Amino acid sequence: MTTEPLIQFLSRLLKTKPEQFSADNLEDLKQTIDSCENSPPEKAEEILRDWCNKQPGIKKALRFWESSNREVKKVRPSQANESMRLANNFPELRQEVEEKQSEITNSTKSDSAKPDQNQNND
Amino acid sequence: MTRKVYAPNVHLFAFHLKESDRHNQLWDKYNTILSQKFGLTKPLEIEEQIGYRVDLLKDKTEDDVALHFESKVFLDETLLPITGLATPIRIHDTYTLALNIRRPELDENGKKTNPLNPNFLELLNPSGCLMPTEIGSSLGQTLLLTVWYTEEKQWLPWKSLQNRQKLRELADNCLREFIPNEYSCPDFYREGQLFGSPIFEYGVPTQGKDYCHVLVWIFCETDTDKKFINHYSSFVNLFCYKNKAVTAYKLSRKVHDVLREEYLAIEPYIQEIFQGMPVDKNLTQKELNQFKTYLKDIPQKYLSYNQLTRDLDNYRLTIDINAQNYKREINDIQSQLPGENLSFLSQFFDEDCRLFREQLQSDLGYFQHGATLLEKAMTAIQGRVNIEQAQSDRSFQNTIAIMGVGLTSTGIGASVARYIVAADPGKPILPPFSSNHLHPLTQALFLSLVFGITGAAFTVMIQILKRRIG
Repeated sequence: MTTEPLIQFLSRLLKTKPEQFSADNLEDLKQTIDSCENSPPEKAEEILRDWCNKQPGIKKALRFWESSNREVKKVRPSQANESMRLANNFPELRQEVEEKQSEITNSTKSDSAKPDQNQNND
Repeated sequence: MTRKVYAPNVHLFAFHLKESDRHNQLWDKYNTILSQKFGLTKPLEIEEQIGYRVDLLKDKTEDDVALHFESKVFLDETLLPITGLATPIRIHDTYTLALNIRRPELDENGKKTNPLNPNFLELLNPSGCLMPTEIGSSLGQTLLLTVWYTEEKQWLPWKSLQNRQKLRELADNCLREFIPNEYSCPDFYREGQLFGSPIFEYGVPTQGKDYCHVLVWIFCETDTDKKFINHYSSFVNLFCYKNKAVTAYKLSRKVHDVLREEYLAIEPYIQEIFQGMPVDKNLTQKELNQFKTYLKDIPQKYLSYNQLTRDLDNYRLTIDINAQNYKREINDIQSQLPGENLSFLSQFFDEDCRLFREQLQSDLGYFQHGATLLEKAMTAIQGRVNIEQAQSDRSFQNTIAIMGVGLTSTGIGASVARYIVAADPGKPILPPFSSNHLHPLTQALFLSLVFGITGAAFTVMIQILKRRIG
């Protein structure tokens, strides 16, 4: 199992967008894979990576796929388990409370402004 | 030299009460921002459905419920493409707008875009259009800025102390660049690590004035953004419950202010009442009427006071409910990422919500005394008024009783008179003191009067005796 993202997406690209590969590409790829058969995994990864880098069109498609799940590209629909939450209707602040609180705030501001005015008068 | 960042993203998560006056606030704001600031004309169209969590986009598909857009911004006389998406959702009673605007990682040729100065972030928030006072959502909002520290997407030594300080400076810088000068920058609150990368939180929830919740997440690990994207919907939910809890707490402070004023006014009011209530003598009619007025006034104050304590308790319950939902959301993420350290997210539940809860419980305990004081005052005044009323009624009843007995005795006297006084119906009635003998009618009347006075006096003596014995 490879951790190389480029190669991870290679198999996905083969399955979902086979039109990206010409007949020559496929033949070349088959030979490359055959040559990796007896190679250690790290070497096989290197060989396949080199092969991808030599195919500009395939490399571009793989790069795009590599970043496709990094930025938000799609937002999945809501899931049923997201509804397993407590329901509560948010209580709005009553108008009279809002008004009284504004009066208190304004009164506090004017009280704190008074000493400054006294100093200015002095 | 200012450190450049790669693929800067801005995420706005705004929340608005569905049943408010301006229920289309979020959608209207989106349409205004995108058209006026980014030159886009395609409006956000909403379609409601029944459900707890509903994707509202009218033209959503089976695998994508967001509206996508592209635009360009000018930087150093260069037009730079930007992309983004908007996701309208309803979570129970709350409309939610999740808006992402970003410099993409790859350009149209599939090539990596260049790293940028953090001042690029200002272009994603032109004229502060994403600030809370501009968005105007009734249940608050969270702004999340994400940047890659390096386009190579891995900066392993970020955990060293020196590098963490550098990252903090970078985060502060990103915040300063993002927020226009005419708006105040929120204070630093705390930092931590999420999905392997450092994250910095700004905006202290207990600060009333100019609260603005911003997170700056600097990606230093390769998988951080993947995990964030995979759990994007969970983050929408998390920020919804968080903002509702914080908003409930802020509104509870307004109720607290009003309640405190009323509480402080109760004691002098009650003292004034009881100073005017003599204990060593009966109340005058004027005083009695005044106390009857208090008996009408106090229930009104009591009702108003109880409504305020009820409001405070409602906000306490709201905080609890949203905190529990927040916790459930974290548990869901944890179950999908078992080894992941989510302590940065859990802090809100463990620390902030606990503070909110304890504060409200203290407030309710304190203010309950005010209601008790009003209740007891009402009972005391009612009792005193009842006593005065009873005394007044008894006195009236006694008077009636005396008059009744007196009249009855007079009647008896009149009946008895014909057996004692000789009848002489023909005898004329002479003026007073013109004869030595009283006319039989006069004698009968005098006898009745004696009987009546005797009966009344007898009744008075019995009442005096009763009072002395009682």
